[in-house]
Amino acid sequence: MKQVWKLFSLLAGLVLLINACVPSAAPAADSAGETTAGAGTPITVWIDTTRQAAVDAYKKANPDKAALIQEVLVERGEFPAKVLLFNNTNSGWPDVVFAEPSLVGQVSDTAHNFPLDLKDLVAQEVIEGFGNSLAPCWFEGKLFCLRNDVAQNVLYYNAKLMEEFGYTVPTTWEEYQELSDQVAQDHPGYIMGAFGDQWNWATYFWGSGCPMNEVLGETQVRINPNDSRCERAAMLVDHMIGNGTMAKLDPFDPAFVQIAADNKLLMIIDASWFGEYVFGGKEDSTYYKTAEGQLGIAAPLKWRDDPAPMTATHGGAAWTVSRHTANPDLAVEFALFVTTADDYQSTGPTFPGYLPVADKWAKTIQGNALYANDPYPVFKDAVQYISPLDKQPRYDWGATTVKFLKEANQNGTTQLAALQLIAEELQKVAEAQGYEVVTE
Amino acid sequence: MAVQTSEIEAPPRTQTHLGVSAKGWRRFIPYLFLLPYLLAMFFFSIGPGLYALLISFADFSQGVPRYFAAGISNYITAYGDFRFVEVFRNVGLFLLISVPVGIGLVLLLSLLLHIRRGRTAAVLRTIYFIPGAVTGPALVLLAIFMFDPTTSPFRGLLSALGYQSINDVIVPSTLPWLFTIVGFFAGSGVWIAIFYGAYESLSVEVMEAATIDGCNAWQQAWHIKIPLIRPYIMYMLILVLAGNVQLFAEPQLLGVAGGNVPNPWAPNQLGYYFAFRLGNFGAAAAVSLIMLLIGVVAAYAVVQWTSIFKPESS
Repeated sequence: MKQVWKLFSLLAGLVLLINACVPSAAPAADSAGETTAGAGTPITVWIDTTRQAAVDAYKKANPDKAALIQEVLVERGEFPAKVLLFNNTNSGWPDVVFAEPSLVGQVSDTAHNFPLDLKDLVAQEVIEGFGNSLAPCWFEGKLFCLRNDVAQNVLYYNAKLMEEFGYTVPTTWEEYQELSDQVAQDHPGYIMGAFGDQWNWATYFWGSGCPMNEVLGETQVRINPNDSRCERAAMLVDHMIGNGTMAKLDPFDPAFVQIAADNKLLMIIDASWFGEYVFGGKEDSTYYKTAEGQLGIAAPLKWRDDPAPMTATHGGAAWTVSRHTANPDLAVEFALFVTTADDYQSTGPTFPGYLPVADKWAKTIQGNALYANDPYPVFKDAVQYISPLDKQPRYDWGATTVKFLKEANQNGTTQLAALQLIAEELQKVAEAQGYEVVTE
Repeated sequence: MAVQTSEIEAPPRTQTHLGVSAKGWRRFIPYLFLLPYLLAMFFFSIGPGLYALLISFADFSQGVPRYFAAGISNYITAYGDFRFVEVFRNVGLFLLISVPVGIGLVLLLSLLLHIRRGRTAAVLRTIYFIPGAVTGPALVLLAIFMFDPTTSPFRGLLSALGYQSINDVIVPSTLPWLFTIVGFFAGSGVWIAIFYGAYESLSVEVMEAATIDGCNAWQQAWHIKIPLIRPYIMYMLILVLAGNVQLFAEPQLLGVAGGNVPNPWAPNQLGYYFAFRLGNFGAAAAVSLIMLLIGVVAAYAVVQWTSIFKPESS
């Protein structure tokens, strides 16, 4: 026993030694944000591989500052977690980060306390140029990000099949549902939508304005599954799953890709990048291997009783600046360049968040023989219809939603019933994250 | 603690030129050999454990730790969370399945190998070992291909069971079984090798006597080999139990290609969620400490009940 105690006292000594080395609780990094080490300080920029082109464009346009930009490829899902670790060590934060506004939301709470308020650092007319796309970047009057691109959903349809079957493209959700009955009767096996993941869920429920996870304030959220706008969306989905025109798969499921490859995909509602990156029209594209003018693009659908269409998003990222940056001038200048300068955005891979560049960007898609009609006016028009639900809460609404969505798909129960289960759990998830939940 | 060190009994000394008795050196040498292990154990298990204990009382609401500012509020947050019971129920079910199945199959395979010794057994032992060489996350990704009826080499079996797509296979009700399968392939090779080694070390005389007495292979296994290697089985029980409570990579990754894996599913994921989603490292530490407690209690209980670590009387 004595041996054990000896060992234990040795270890205890080591612990005390280590604890002595642990930095004492430093004041929450406010001080670091204020430090201005000057114009010569390099900045670290976190990007993904696709955004390397943005950094390269900046360096090309500003050769004198090229050496000051140090880009790092990161998996941005880990961004909030890494901020917490940097907070613990009180150093190491990146200066500029490419991330979705929902991630920016996660790093904006008191525990993360990461983004710099850009409101007074960016000219008013530039802010206005972003239009509706900037909505999810605003947090209680503070501008925490600049939008890189928007991923507004539009209606994609196979123009050749539609013509062959003699159908007209729907403009309302009601017509969409009626057409699904027609298709189910005349051409069973043809698919008009996907319902397998959280973004498919958003397509129909945000598109209907369903107040689930509706952000009312930084600590208040509305979750009301009994709202008629939720019920009509759920019933639409259940109806189309019932008649077999809605696949219980996500759009990247190999089985769904097969449907598109077999030319059984009549239409699908998804993001503006789907045209180039999923339908494609090139040999290595996911859906269509050839470009023969088969892909039609139509405006987001509208509920008959609603004044205007409303559309969901599927992605669309932004650039956020750290409040800890030692060179805020350069960091903000860089963020402005990659979001608003023609150099990058007019040739970028996705629909620009900054609308004045968008018209120049249009040519990047207009040359593709895949499209049956010019997609650009439809995309541009759709930006104004992006649902306010695009501003997402900090908690992970997707994990809970998808759990019950898939359970209903698997068990053959309705999405209408699943809605109650989703809401019940989301309420607890939201409260655990410090939100007050409004259910009316 | 200082009191304890001062109590070391002083042996009669024969002075050497260094001023330390030769006997003192001799007592010291075993610790020197143990030192690498003790250091590793301290820095990678006891140290982090104590650190977890420290930060479980720290407040993280402002982003930086404020030590001892949280009192027991992290424990209340963690143990009162609505997912707490669910994740432990999930992992409990997984333990109920994976521990007996794992130990049973390892015993069976190692016994079969030992009955048919020779080149075949050596080759098979190596084969059993191979999946263990693949690290956890990579093995999970491999498992996804195995579970997907469209890509699996067992697609015939899967479709015969009525599974059309990965969404049919990876559902909450099958998860404990799927994790058991992944865990078995990851860990069994090592244990098969250990058990095999244990059979090899058994007294040849005893085996011969048994054979002369007319014992068949099955009786020999059941009545002689298994009782004699019981300490090894208990050892496996402790380690598998403690290891499986800490399940993380499997539930975290199994759902990446489809299927329905609720997150958090396991206690470790709940801890991860507290730490990296909510920024509450204190509550995460509280969750991890309960897993440590389960491992320690299980080990203590098994050691007490079975007296496996008692020194053998010669």
